[in-house]
Amino acid sequence: MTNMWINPAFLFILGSFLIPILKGRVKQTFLLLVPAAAFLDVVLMSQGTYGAVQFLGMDLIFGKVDRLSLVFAHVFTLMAFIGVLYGLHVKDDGQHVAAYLYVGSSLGVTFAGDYVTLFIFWEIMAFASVFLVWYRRTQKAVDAGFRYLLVHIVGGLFLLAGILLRHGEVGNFAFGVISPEGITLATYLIMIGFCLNAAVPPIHAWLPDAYPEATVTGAVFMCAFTTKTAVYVLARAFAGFEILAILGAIMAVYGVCYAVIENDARRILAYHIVSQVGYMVCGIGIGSQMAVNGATAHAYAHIIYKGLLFMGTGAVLEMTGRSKLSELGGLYKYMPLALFFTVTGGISISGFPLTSGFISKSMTVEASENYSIFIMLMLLTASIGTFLSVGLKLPYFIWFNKDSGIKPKEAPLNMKLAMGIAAFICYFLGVYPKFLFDMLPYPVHWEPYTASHFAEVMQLLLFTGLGFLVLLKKLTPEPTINLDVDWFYRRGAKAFMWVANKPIAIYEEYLGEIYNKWFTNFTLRFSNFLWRIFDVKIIDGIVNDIAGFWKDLGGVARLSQTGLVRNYAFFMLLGGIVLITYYLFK
Amino acid sequence: MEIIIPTINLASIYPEIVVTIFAVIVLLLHAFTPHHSPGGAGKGGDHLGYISFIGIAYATFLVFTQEGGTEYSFNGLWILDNYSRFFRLIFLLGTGLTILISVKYVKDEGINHGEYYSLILFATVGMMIMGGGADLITIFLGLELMSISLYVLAGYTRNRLTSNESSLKYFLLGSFATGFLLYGIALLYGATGTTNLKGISGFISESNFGNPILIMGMVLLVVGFGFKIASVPFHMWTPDVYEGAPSPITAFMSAGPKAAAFAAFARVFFEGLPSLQGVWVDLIWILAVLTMTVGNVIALVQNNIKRMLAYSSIAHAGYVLVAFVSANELGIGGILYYMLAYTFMNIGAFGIIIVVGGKGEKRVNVDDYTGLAYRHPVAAATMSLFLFSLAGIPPTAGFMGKFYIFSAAIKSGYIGLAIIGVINSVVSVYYYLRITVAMYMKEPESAVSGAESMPSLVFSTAMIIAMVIAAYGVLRMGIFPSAYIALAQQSHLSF
Repeated sequence: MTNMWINPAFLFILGSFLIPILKGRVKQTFLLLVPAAAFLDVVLMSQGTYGAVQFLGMDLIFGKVDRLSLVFAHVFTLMAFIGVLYGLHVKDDGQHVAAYLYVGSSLGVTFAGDYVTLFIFWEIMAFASVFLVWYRRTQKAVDAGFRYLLVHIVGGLFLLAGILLRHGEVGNFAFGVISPEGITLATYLIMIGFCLNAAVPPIHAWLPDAYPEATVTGAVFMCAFTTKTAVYVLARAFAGFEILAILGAIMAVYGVCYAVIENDARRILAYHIVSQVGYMVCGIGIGSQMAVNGATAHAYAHIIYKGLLFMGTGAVLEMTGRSKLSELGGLYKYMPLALFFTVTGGISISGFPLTSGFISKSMTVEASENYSIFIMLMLLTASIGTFLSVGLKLPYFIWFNKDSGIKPKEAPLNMKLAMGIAAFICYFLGVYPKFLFDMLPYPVHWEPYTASHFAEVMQLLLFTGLGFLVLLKKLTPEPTINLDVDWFYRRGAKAFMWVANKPIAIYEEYLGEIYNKWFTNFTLRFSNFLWRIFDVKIIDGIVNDIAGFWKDLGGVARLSQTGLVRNYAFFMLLGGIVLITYYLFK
Repeated sequence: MEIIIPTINLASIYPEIVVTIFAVIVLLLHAFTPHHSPGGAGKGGDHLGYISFIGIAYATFLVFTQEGGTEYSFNGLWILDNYSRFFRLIFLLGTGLTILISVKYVKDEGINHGEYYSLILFATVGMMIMGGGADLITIFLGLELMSISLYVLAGYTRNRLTSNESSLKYFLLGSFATGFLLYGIALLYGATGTTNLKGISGFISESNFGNPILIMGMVLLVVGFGFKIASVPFHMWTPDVYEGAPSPITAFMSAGPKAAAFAAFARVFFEGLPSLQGVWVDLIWILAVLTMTVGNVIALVQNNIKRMLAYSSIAHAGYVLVAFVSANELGIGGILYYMLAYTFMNIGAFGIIIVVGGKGEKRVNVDDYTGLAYRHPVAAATMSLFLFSLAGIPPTAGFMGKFYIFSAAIKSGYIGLAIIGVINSVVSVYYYLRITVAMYMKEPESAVSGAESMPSLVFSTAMIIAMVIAAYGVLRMGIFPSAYIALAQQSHLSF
């Protein structure tokens, strides 16, 4: 096995080319087969370094396989299978292709051993995932997609700048642990690039902006890969950077605050990604073995339960066409299975005992206790908000509360199956944590099910539940738009387009205008003058030719709304004169 | 009087000779073929195009058989080195693809004349002469041969006013620019006493190069070449000419002649004026920034796709100028690599524009691409590939090209320039992907009016071949670029 290594990234990327060719059942089978094969590939993979390539004098490593990359690849391929199963009924080939490329490139990042490979897959990831938004095909989705894409390219550029600067400093592109001592600009640039994908405030706004606009299946994929790939690269490179611990704790609370006041179900979940990723970033920042383990375990658990939540609300959106809480309600009679699955996701994310969230979240929280009590308190606060908004508010207002009068059917079979698998994993990990703990990067000496721990969590949750009942009126969602820092770049893009539209387009017109008034008028008069003299006096033939020339020129120029040849020539001349003057007087 | 007998090495100009011969053959063939229809206009068969293509293919083969190494001939007027070989391949590729995408177009527009192909071939000869000229006079002759052919080609669809306008504008402004260029050559000759590039560089390095006449000559050359490569502020002809010219000719102009202008530009400046590098590098730096920025920003607000690609081609010239500024050997390789990549992707994009535009080029607005993916998934996917490449998205040729250029800039210490370039390329993503979004994400207008506004697209065999070649090139250079990069790096100038 050691000599043979198949990059699961390439399974997906090559597989994506076949999707448009295949039809019907064959296609559906193929769609499921590829993630299954990739999953097996990852399970059977042994550690080592594979796929080293010399390229333009750079050493590229496509396969750096160790415990950290394996556990992420494990959950990525697993989630890919669930996601594909969930979206199996989608007729739109493009969505499948985009999802495949997206999954493939995030696996590519996971196994990348050098920054160049990492960067290329990083970029493909952004470009593939934006299509999952665009395929929603609404104007809002197109706009949100563009914002998403531009933000990610800018993040990619920070990363690229950091990578190139770092190459100048250390002389290689190797991707590995960066020491918290002796931080340079390059380190910060790379960290900003990574943090943007991890949605660390204040560069997180793309996430709640774009994810709710994505297609039903698209959101399921997106919630799993972009941020968690970022968590992976942060864990690999920046473990133990204190700033991440602080940012992570802020993230955890920040996301929850917005989630509590949000109305759109999928936007609530999107803000919860910010919050949950906060736990992971915080764990990485703490940097102890237990904390990194906790972050990794939490990423694993989170991918599954967040996928489940997006699948549950996605099923509602698919069947009813609505995702705003204020427009939903009373669905328990019609979609009881979706309710069950969503609640499973909800209690997992809240960290109920016997679910995956319990074992992973408490590990991170406990690691933070030894680090800083303040950070631990922030994480616990975030826990309360999480249970309040996702565990209680979300299911309550979709499935109970007032009857909204809609009577949707239960989601199609493949969706239910996918949700069933994800729900099973949530409980399975909660009951049998060893399965996950054995995969973690460091050995685990920690037991989640202790009496004190159990009691602590239950108290927290029960009081939150009580609070919910008391505050129910206050929590009733309102159909408002909550503005986040995305306001700045929405305005920014508008301002930029305005500059492009107005001053610069005007500039060409305006200068042309000035020129017309002075230079052209003069020329026309002069030619007119010539024309008259020649006409009155001498040779008719030549006169007509010259006049005809000017007339033709005028005629040609009239045809063009944008400008006259003379303007262009004038600008060339002006440019030449400026250049010459510059050199003569330098 | 001593008579100098120049070394005549015909072998070094075999490809040029072949293309010339084929140009004449195509011209005569059409003249001597009986025309059955009255007037005979536009009724020539496909054979004219295919014969021209064979000529190009044969010339390409000859370029490959030429031996490596650097060799001067014709009394120092002509040079054959890896640099000129690489550029010849770019020109021949651009011309070959142009011929293929023209075959159906010229029949639809009723301009299927021998002259059409003949002029394209003559323009190609001009470009090849520009690439191989070791003397300002040779370069000038090549430039004129190319330009005059292009003036005619730009106005080739005689019955369309925009085309006439385009041709006339191009001609007037082109002549104006030629004046600058010629004046610059004259001043250089006056200052150094020779037009030979080696002679000029030898003279400057031996004597004091602060001579203002020399500097003025150099600036005028920048203006002249700046016009040909469509650099800001000498760019204003580009959108009008590109919009009005027949689409295949627009594709042609944006690839080959632009590359030829760069070939000559770089040759003159790196081989003839290397000692002045400290002087002109600032100038080119400014031009690069202006060109990238103005090109991209104005492209943002264009709705006519030909016009948009015209501004985009201005922006791409700016990227190549970045490679020009960061003039280590990597930088020169960047010019070569980028122009090759650009030839593939831009002509590819124009191929789809021609097909979608249909007879009379009626559908050239971004809105006309709405819902294309629903009707013609293959055309839409191919177009997206070219647009991705133009935007510089991995894994395409455009990405590798930009990566190459910007890392060269950083290695040479032009970090500011690289940052401006990269920001520009982010801006450009918007207007390229706008078309992709229109094709994929928007439903076609109502079925009735949609069917009216977009009849089925017709791909001729030649067009399919061209698209396959272009798509292959874009992917090949993006995924396995090593061979091309090695080739480009070998082809640096000896400076």
